[in-house]
Amino acid sequence: MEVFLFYAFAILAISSALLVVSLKNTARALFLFFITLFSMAGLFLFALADFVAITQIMVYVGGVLILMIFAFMLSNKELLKDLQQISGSLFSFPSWQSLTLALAFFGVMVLGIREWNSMELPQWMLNNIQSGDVIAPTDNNIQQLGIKFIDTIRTAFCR
Amino acid sequence: MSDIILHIIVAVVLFGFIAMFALFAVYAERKIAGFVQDRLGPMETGKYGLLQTIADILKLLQKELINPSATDKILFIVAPVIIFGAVFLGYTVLPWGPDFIPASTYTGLYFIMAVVSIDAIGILMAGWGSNNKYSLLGSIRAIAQMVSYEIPVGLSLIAAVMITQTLNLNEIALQQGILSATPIKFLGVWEVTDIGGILAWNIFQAPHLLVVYIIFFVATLAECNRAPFDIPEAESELIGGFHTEYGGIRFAFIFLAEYAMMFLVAMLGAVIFIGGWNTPLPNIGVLRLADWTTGIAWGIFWTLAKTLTLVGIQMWIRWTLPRFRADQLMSLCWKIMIPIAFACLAISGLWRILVMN
Amino acid sequence: MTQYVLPFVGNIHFLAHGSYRSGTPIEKGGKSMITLTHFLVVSACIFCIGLYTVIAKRNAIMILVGIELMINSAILNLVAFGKYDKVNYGGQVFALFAIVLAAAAVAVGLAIILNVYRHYKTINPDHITDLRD
Repeated sequence: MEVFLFYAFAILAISSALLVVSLKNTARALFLFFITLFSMAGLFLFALADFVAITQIMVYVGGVLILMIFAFMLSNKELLKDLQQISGSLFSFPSWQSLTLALAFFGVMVLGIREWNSMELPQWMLNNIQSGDVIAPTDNNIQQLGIKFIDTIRTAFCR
Repeated sequence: MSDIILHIIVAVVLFGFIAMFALFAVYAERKIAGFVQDRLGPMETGKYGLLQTIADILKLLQKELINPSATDKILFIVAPVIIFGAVFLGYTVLPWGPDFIPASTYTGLYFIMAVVSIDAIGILMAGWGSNNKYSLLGSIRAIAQMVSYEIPVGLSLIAAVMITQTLNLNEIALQQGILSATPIKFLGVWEVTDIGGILAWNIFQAPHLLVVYIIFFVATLAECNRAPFDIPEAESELIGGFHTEYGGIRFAFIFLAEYAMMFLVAMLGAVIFIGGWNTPLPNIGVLRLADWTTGIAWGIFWTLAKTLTLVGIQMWIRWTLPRFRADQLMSLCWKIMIPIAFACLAISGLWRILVMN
Repeated sequence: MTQYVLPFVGNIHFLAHGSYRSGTPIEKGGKSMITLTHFLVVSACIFCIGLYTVIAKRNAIMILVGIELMINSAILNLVAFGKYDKVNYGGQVFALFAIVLAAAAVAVGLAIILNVYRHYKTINPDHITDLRD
């Protein structure tokens, strides 16, 4: 069940990101970006970071996305006269140079992940897994984050 | 598998409750409006006009779904879904009784704030997708108002959370009554954990929370786009604002979302500041009134009583005050509410450190 | 507190599945099947989609969307590794700083775009070629 949900969120995130880059209608692309950010927040939940997920929704969806949509509305020529040009084609086709570059970069990253998989986990991770210092689903993340923030700031800036 | 069925049943029951509440609230609003304006309100359909809302709903449901040809089809159709879905999500973390909550998470309060931010995107979608000058202007004004007033809401909630030390709404409600695990001090001096009742509510535990509650109430009134902050829906200025082009069942959804949001913020304020499902009757010596009136059924009764009173006050304000001008609205938020909220935040911090251990 | 458990549904905490004080979905016993590699692959995909957006789009706002996608994928990486760090919570703290800084960067970028639009009347970066007016 959990695996199914993870794959659902991951496929939703990747497919909506692909749609964002290939739609010609910029307004629809920006509103589809909302789906991408929402599914990324869902993925954060699977890494047991609930505070980061909700912060992502508040800051990104409630701030950055609204700002981008406003900027898009304000940078259209003659906005209030004719609002929407219903253009002919639905998708804008990729230029082969950028597609090659992106796929090559993706290949490099996948090779890197496979290389990392074939090695052992880093020492600090093994230590933490052994001593049980891994974040569990029933942890009170917010309280610990609050304490860590104040401690970090106190030791970093007040010395 | 039974877990999933239980989850679905809870969601359906909550939706049914919101629909019932909207029916009741529309009728109550029209009657209150009539009373304030010295007239009778709906009296024709049914005895005392009780079937008026049902007649309205039936009319809206059987209307033809018109899609204007120049609109952006997908955005136009999806916008009411997002507006209502966002508000409906917020009901999952509100407690109706002791430990009687759909999802008791450590981040409950923060979740509701994020959900209110999503509402703004839905309104933008509705305004842009309608392809209409008035809708666009209405939605831009609505977003400017909603985004500005999120700040006083956030600051007032932080001031309250500094006192309660937790974002879990279940815990916040538990800490304000006789079921509390930690000692409660009325005004910081008198220990009232066993007495309970009205003396244990948050606004009496730390008295500056009364000012914070007033700021929260007014700011959330602006978040719901309710009068006197209802420039986005000004019927006499912008025709209908962002929901001009919507008719039939889509308009019913947006309408339902507005009433659901009113109930949501009223219940949120009740839970955080005036005790939620806790009883206002204290234990006076032998008469253990607080013990007798606490429980799941009593909790639901007290929650509904407090929330419906607050919703009634919201409706009363709507029909009493004239509408704000756009610049007055903005100056109220940025120049008056935010400095007061910041001052209350500082007082909360000091109260927590100096007065409560 | 526990004597007020609901009388209707027996002794089950309403909608609890074991530990009701959870903020995240709980696996039903056994280890989680979602390894670190899953997160890394998803993050790599989204990073490359963001990279493609930055290179191939001719609308300055879409370039900003691409930058946001890249930053989001980096934050997913941070959070995935941060799950193994309960001592310092380093991953999540860094992720929060990254979110806030990305928002600030977008705000400044959009201000620049709007100013450029006022002068050039277009936001296609290919047409903004003068070094001074």
